[in-house]
Amino acid sequence: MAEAGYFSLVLALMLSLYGIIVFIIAARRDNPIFLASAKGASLGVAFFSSVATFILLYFLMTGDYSIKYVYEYTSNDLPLFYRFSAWWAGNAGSLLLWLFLLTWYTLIVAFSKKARNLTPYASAILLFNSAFFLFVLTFVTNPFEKVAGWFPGAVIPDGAGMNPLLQNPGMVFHPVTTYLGYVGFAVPFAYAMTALLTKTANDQWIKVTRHWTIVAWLFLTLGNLWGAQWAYTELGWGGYWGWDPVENASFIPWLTGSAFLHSVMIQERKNMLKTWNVVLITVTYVLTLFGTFLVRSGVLTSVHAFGDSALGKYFLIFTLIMLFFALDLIILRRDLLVQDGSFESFLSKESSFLINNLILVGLAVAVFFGTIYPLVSEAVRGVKVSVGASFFNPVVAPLGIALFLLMGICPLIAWRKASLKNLIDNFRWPLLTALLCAIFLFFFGVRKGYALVGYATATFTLSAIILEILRGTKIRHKLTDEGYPKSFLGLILRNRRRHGGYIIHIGVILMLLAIVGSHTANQDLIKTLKPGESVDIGNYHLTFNQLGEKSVGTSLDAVFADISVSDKAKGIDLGNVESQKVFYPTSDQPMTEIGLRSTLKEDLYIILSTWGQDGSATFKILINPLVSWLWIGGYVVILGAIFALWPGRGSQTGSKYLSTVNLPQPLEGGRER
Amino acid sequence: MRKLFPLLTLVLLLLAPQSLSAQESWGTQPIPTDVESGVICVLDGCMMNLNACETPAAEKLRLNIREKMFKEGLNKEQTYAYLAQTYGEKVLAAPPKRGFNWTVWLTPFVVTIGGGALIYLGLEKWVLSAKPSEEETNPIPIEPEYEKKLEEEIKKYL
Repeated sequence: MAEAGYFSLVLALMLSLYGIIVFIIAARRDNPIFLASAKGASLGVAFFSSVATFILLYFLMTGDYSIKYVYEYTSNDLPLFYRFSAWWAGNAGSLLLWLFLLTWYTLIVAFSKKARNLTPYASAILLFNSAFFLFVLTFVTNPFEKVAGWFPGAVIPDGAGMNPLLQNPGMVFHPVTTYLGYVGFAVPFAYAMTALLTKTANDQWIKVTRHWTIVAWLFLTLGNLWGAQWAYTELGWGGYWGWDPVENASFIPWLTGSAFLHSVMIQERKNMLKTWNVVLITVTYVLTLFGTFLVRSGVLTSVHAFGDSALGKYFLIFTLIMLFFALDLIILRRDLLVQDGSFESFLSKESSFLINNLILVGLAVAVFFGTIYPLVSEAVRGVKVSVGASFFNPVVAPLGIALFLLMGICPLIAWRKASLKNLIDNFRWPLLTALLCAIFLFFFGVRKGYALVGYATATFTLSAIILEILRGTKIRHKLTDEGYPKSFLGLILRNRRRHGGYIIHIGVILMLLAIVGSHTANQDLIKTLKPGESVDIGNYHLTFNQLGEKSVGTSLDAVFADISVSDKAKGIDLGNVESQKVFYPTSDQPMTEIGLRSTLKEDLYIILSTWGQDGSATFKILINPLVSWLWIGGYVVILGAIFALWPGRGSQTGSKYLSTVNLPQPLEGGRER
Repeated sequence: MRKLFPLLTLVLLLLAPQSLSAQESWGTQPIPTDVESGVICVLDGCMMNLNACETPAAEKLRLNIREKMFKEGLNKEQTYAYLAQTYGEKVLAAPPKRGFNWTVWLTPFVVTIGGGALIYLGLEKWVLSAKPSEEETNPIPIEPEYEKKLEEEIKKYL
């Protein structure tokens, strides 16, 4: 059966190569027979990739440890849930997941009825991506490889087991969503390249790929969010974002993808930034590959990486091929990308979008350069350095604050042209609210500069968005004579794209509040306690009750500490929190299971560090303010993206904002040129 | 000398618990979070931030920091300088701001400011090239009859 899995991969590889050639011939000759054959090939690629996937899943579920991959990532005591997630626990399996998603995305594109002039080349580019993954799976990291020394008839009773850190629900969903995001960005890239190949100068590729881009961005957002949740609850260090190279690898394309989502609006509305949009989607796509190179090559040390493997060089070569292909095409077709619109004022929504792009790209550069700087330093100076939160936090924070400010400014500026009076009228209330917020917080004891600036910025942006929605509701009420609630709903539903964007911004503001709160008002304490002893932190009074041992799941042992929590001032009992160290047979070090008491105000986060023979235990206790809002904000972002994506009336692109000098000139007889 | 020996022994015996308790005192003092978060656990190659690491190697590094800070009285910068000298620059969570390392600190801001300048120049070109039409500079007032019709039409789309 393993042979059948491998053979499926070989067949899929051959079909993908056939499909690429036939799609190109079909596009060049405009031949429907070739096109039908190429579509059949992409169906075959998806089919055989799926067959290979299901065979691997069968081996994982049934525990056939003669397969090296199954042996390395599962064991008899592994719950079924994690047996399934072992699909992406290792290199070969995760690449198979990537391939599985990519081939189905390709199939949807190949059979799409939209923009039929673009689909053959777009499908060929996507199949080229599939061919690369199939090549790697066939020749470099075969998921069906047998365990060394295995011979027919030999039975291997148990596997080595899964890394304990991966045995967490967060690690089940985080990789899948991240890959859905990564793979998703290949689609707009393929269409952008196709537009250049077919010399299609208009914004057709942007309109066709709008949903693809938002879906990819949505999944990448979800991937980052769940990755942060996993880090917070499973890694047990008290934080949710450690600026690890692997975290950064998925954050950088998220930044450039966000810039792309904004800048395409300028092309849709003004026929401008054509080159920039093609460059941005190219960079985003290339960064998804580069991130994978970082994770698979072992060139950078990370707690999340798959470890050192030969895969890195193949990813680097493929990344460079795609980068040079795209750059070459952009340079060759630069005449097509000449913009035919213009800006009418320095002060307009368009120009604020440009600044938005500048800051997002500036942030991407900061994170990218910081991530690869250890390699740069070693190459240039011969000195190894580390780049962690101590670098990223001070560099990213000012750019981040500027971005959040812009998030509030942008909705209140008109398209085309804004006057000074318009600005004063629009910004008076948000500015006043932000100022009041800062004063209020100052008098209530908040003295850290970043905290005051952060909270004031969040207030400014939130009030600007609320003001914009209130104004829209008022105007609609005036025009339609509907009641205010109906006007509000009508406003939101009739332009879901815009208001979905506002919902996303509100979610991001909630996340900002959490980031500011957890970085500026956090408290921590390390304390060794004997049973019955107490310690105070923040508003909590903690009493260490006992240290004990217990079984977790079917075969794991854990040492646990039971702690009573009460309100320090009022003496009210707030319940018990348990922090554990779990011993896995697959790991030398016990894994931390944190004790967490989470409220909307703050998280009480308890880590059991060590313990003594006398029953004493050393704890690291943290108070992380507002962290719950990070998750709430994240889900609001997802909700906003789904709202913007929802089809039907209200989801269409807005009309063009062209000045009269740039309007298409009518031809004789009334047709437009 | 022989007469002095018991005396020396007595002095040493009296001093020993004190020095032990002194070591206990600096050896268990908590390291400030801002100091610990600026250090990477390099001793066993785990490369996690020290404030997030609980391996025995991390404890060894912490003891080293405690010794320098609380026994020898070094401040944060001096402790970092000692750590960099002993373990190499990679022990610090951010490249020290000197020499070539300035490139990583300044590049994001140089790129952003440079990009801002490019946007300004681009905007200047685009704004100047957009000459408003006669209708835009002197808009023709809409007659009330047409304005009402326009409003009726707009309502259909709301």
